[in-house]
Amino acid sequence: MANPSTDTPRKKRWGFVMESDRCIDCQACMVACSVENNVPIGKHRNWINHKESGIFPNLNQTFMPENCHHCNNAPCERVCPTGATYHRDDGLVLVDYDKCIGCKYCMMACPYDARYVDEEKAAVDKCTFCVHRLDVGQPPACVETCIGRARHFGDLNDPNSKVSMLLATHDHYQLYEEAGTESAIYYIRSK
Amino acid sequence: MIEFLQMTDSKKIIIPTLSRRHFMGLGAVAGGAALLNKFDLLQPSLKPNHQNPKSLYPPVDFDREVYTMCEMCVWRCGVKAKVKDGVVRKLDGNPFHPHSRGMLCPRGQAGVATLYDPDRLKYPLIRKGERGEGLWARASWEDALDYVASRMLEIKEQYGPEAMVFSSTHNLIQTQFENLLKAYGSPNYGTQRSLCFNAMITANLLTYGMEEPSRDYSQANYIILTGRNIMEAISNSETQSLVAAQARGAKLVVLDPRFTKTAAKADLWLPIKPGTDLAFHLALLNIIITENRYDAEFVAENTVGFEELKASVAGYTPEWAASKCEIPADTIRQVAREFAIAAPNAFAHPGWRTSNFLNAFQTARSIGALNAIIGNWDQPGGFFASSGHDGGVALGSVPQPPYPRVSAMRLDGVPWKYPLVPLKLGVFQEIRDAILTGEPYQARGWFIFRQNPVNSLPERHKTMAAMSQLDFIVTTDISMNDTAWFSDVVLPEATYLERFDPLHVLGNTVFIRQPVIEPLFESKPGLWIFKELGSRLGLADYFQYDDEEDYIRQQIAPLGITLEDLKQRGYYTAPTHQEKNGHEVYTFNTGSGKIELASEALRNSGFAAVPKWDAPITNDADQFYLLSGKVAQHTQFATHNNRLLHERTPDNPLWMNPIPAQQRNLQDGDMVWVESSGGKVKTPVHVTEKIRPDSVFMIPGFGHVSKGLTTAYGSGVSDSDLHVTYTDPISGSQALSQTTVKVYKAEEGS
Amino acid sequence: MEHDVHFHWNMLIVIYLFTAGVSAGAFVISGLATYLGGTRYKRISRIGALIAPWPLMLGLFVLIFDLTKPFQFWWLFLTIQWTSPMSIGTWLLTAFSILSMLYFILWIPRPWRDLLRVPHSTADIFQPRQWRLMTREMVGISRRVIAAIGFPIGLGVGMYTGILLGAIPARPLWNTPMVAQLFLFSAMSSGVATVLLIAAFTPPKDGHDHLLHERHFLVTVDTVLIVLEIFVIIPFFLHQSLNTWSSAESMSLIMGGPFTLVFWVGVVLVGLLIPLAIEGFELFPVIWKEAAVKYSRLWGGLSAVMVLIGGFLLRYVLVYAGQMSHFLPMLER
Repeated sequence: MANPSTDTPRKKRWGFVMESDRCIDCQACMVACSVENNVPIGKHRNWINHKESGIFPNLNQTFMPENCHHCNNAPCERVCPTGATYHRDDGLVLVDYDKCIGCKYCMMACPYDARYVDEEKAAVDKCTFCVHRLDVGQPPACVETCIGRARHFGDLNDPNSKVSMLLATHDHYQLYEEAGTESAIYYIRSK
Repeated sequence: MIEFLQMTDSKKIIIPTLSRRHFMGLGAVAGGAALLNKFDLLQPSLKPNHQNPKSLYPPVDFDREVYTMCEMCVWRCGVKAKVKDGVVRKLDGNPFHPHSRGMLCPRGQAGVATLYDPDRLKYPLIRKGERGEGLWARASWEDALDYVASRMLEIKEQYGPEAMVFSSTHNLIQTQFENLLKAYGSPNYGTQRSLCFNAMITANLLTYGMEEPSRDYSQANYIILTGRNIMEAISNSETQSLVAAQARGAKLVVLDPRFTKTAAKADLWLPIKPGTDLAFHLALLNIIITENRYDAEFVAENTVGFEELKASVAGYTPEWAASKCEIPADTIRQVAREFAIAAPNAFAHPGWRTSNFLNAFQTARSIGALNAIIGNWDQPGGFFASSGHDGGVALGSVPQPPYPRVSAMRLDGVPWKYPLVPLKLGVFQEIRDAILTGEPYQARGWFIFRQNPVNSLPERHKTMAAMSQLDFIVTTDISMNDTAWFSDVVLPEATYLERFDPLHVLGNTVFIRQPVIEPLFESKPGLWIFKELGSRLGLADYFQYDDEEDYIRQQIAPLGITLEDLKQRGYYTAPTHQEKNGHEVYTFNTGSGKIELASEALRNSGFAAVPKWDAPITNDADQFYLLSGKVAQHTQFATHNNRLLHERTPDNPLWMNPIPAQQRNLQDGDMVWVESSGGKVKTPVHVTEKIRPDSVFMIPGFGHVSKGLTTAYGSGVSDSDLHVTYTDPISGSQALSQTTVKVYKAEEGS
Repeated sequence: MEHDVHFHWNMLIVIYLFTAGVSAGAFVISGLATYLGGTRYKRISRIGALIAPWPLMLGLFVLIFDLTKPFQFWWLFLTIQWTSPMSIGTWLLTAFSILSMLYFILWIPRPWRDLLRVPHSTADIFQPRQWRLMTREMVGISRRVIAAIGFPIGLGVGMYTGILLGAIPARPLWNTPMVAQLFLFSAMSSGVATVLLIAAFTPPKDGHDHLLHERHFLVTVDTVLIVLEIFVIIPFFLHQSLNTWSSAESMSLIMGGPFTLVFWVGVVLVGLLIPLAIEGFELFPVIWKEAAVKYSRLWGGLSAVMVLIGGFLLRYVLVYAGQMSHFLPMLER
C-alpha cells in the first residue's frame, strides 16, 4: 500500500538558510551569479550585508549574504500592474520578461532592494533562485560555489531537508519580518 | 604589412562573442528576441502566460564540460568549464579536486572575464615608438620570435649569457621557462619569492628542513594566525578548512594590526603593533617553557638545541613582550596556556607573506619552534609533512642534454652576498638594483614571463630606471601589463583556459590543465613559445617535444594511462605504493635530521642560532606603518583588469583610524598625499575603526600605468610607488611594511 | 555593501504626479463652480474644463518614456491587477482622460463648438447625417452630468497619485494614508491655482465685479485647501516621528537631512505659508467688513505661482526622499 504522503505530492517551498558565521565576504557568490545569469556589470542579484559595530580595538563585524527573498506574500508581485511578476507553485517569484513594461513600481515595493533594471532585456530582473538550474536538479550557482558553506538551499517544506534540519536545530531569524513578506530566507543567529 | 596600433584603441577590436555590455552577451538568439520584443506590438495573450518564460534564461544544456585547472591565483583549483556554442559560459569548482572541492573563489568564478577580456593581447607586438609611448607594430609569430632570438643571441655573444636576466612567477610552466634560461646559460633568474615568502621558507628550511609544513585543520582545536589573512588571502581549500574548523568549534586567534575579515571571524583578535609578532611568539615560548607546558618527550626525541632556546627566551616574559607589542601580558599568558592545553591538536600557522619587517625571519623561526615544543608534529590537528613524502607520482621527463656550466656571479647576490638564501628563492629586488648600478656587471636584456615587476617591486621609479638601462626587454603575458607596456617585444600567451601546461602533482594524483577552447586571436601556449624560441636560439635539444600534447604524453609515459583518459577525467590517481604506518619516524631534512630549534647553519654563517629579539623600526609620531594585504577579489597585480573583479573591488583607498584622521582634519573620502622616502601618491582616505592608529593600509596591486589595461588603468594607486627596498640579510626577503609614510590632506588642484 | 541609494523613479515621475494633480484639481474646481455658481462662475468652469485634460496628457506622455518598454505602455490596459494601485490607477486615469476630454469639448466656446454635431434621437444614432447642433439645454445637462460623474473620478485621480506611493510598506516615508490626503489636497490646490493664474491674466469682458466674485470663490477654496494641507502635514510629522523606528528615521530626511531645505522653504514656506498669507490678505476685507475681496493681479498671480511651485516640490521631495527611506538594517537580535 502506498504511503499516503506520496500519493499527493507535497508542495515545495524553496528557500535559503544563511549561516553568517560561515560567510567570509569573499563575494564568490556575487561573481558566480553574475557569470551564471549574465547580470549586467554594475548590477547584482545577490549581495552581502556588513553589520559593523564597535570602536577600535573592540570591533564586531558580521556578514549576511542576501538575495531575493522569494516572499510568500511578495510586495513586488502585489503591485505589478501587468502581472509580469508571478508566483510559481514551488514558491519561486519570477518575472515574465515579456510582460514587464519596466515601470519599476516593484523596485519601489521591494523592502530588500533585490531588483534592478536589465537594459538589454528591457525589463526588471532579480534573483531567480537559478530556476533554470533548479529545474534540472542543480542548486543555485551561489550555493554551489560558496567556499564558506554559508549558503544553504533546499525545500523548506521538507522536514528532512538540510535547510529544515538547520532551522530545527538553530536559533534563527528573518529580515524585515515586520513587513509581513513571509520571506524564504532564514538567518542562523551568530554565535 | 606592418600595422600601427595605438594600444589605447585596442578596445575597438572586439571578438564576435563579446558584447559591450558583458563579456558573453546573451547569444544571438536571445538578444534578437529581446530586440524584437521591444517593437513587437503583439502581446502574446491577455491572460498571463507563464508556461514558457524562460526564453531569456541561461542555458543548462552545455555542449561539453572540460576538467582543467584554475590559474586566477597560484593555488590551482580544479575547474569544470562549461562550454556552449564555443563560448565558455561558466566555471565551476571541480568536486574531485582537493583544492577546490567543488567550489571556486570569486577570482576563479571570474575567470571567464579574463579569457574574454577585450584588452587581451591579440598578436605579437614590436615596439615602434618610445618605451611606454604605446605605439606598436603587429608582427607575425615568425618575425617576432626571430627578432627576439636574434637580440638574445646578440647579447649572449657580446656580453655573455649572464647579461640576460630572466624572471617569472610561480606557475606550472615555470620548469620550462627555467629550462630555457638554464640552457641559454644565464644565472640570473628573478621570481616573486623574495617579495613574498622568503623569510618563512628559509626559516622553515632551517628549522624543519622543508619549505612549509602542512596543517591539519580537520582536528585542530586551537589555531594562531600570524601574517596569514586566510579569509581574504584565499587559498581555497585552506580557507574552506578554516571555516569548517571554526564551525566545529576550533578556537581562532588572529594577530594583525588591521581588523581583517579573518580577524572578524576570530575568537580573539589581537591588534598587534606592526613588526612585533616576534616579541609575542618569544613570550609564548617563554611561558610554555617556564611553565613546563611543552612536550618534553617529543622535544628530547625530535629536536636539537632546546636548552639553548630555553636560555635565549628566558628574558622574554609576557610583561616584556607587552611593552613591545602592545598586547596585555595577561592576554599573552592566556593564549600561551590555551595553546599548550590544546596541544598537540593545535598549531601556530607559519604565516605566508610574513615578510613584513626585517625581523620576519626570526618571527618565522620562533613560530617554528613554538609548534615544535608543543609536539604537534604529525599529530591530529598539528603540522605534517607536505604532500609528496608518502609516495607521490614519478612523472616521466622530456630528455635533454646537460645545461652549460655557469661561471658568472648571480646578480641577486646569492650566495656571495646572501649565503643562507636558498638558490631557488633568490633575491629579486637585488637584480633590479644590480641592473641600476651595473655591479658586479652590467645586464643588457630582460625576459619577463607572466610577471609584472613594474608594479610588484618596491620603488617603482628604480624599476623603471633599471628598465631604461637595458638594451632589450621582452615580455610574455596574456594582457598588456605595466611591464609589457615598457617592453620592446610583447608576446601574447594563451590563457589558462586555452592551453596545456605541464602536469600538476598532488600526492599520488596528477591533474591536467587543458584547453577548454582553442586559443583566441593569435595567442600561443607557453610550451609552444619556449620550444619555438629555443630552436631559434639553437637550443632545440632542450625542447624535445612535438607539441604540448606530446610533452604531456612523455610526462605520463610511466603511469600507463592515455592522454585521452586524463583529458576526460582531468586527473589520475596512482595506486599508493607506501602504506603509512602509525609509527613511522619522519626524518627532517636538516643537518641534524631533527627539528633544529638551534641551527648550526645559522651559527656558522654568523647569525644567532636560536630565535632572538630583533627590534623593528619605530615610526615617528607623524609617520604611519604602511601595511599591505590582500583582498579576496584580486590576485597580486594580475586581476585588476578583469571586469567582474574590478566591479567588486575597483580601487584601494587608504585606510586610516579616525583618531589620526581627526588630527589631520580628514573626512572619509578626502584626498590625501601619502609620502614615503621612496615616493608619494595621491589617493582617497577611508576612515575606519578597523586599523591601529599608528598604521595605514592599502590594497596592493592597483595603480596600473599601462594604458593597455583599459579597465584597471587609472584606478587606485600603487604601493610600489611608496615601498622602500629593505632586504633581510638572512632570507633575502623584502620587508614590505618596513616603510613608514606620512599622510597629509591634498589641497584642491594639488 | 550597504543598501546603496538609487533613484529608480526620477523627475519624470515627479512631473507626472504633479500634472495629474493639476488636471484633477482643474476638473474638480470647474465642476464645483458649475454646481455652486452656475452662470456666475461660468468663466471658472470654462477655464477649468479647458485646462483639465492637458497637463495629464503631458504627464502620461512623459511617463511612458520612463518605462523600459515605452511602446508597450498599453499592455497596462490588457489587464486589471486588483492589488496593484498602478493598475487601478491606470483605469482611473483612462476614465478621467475620457471624461475630461468630453467635458473639454462641451466647454469649447462658440463658434468652435458649433462644429460638433450630435444625434437628437435614438433613431439618429446610426444616421450621422441627421446629427445636428447641440441645444443649449443639452449642453447644460451634459456639462452637469459629466461634472457629477467626474467629481469622484477627479478626486480619485488626485488621491491616486498619493496612494501610488503610500501603498508601499517598504518605503516608510510613504507608507501612511496621510500621503494620499496630502496629495489630494495639494492636487486640488494646484488645479485651483492654475485656474486662478489663467483667470487673472484673461480678464472678463463684463467688468470688475465679476472678477471679484470669481476671485472670492477661488481664493476661498484655495485657502481652505491650503489649511487642510497644513493640517495634514502636522499629523503626518507627529505620526511618522512617533511611529516605528524606521518611520521616525525616515523623517530625518526632511528634518536635518538632504531634503530639509527644499521641504521647509520650498514646500511649506513658498508653497503654503506665503500663499496663505497673501490669500488671507486678499480675503481680509471680506472677513473684517463684508467688503469685496482685495484684488491685485500681481499678488494673486504670485500666490498662484507659489502654490504651483510648492505642489511640484512636494512631489519632488516625496518621490526622492521616499526612495531613500528604507526599513532600517537589522540590529543584533
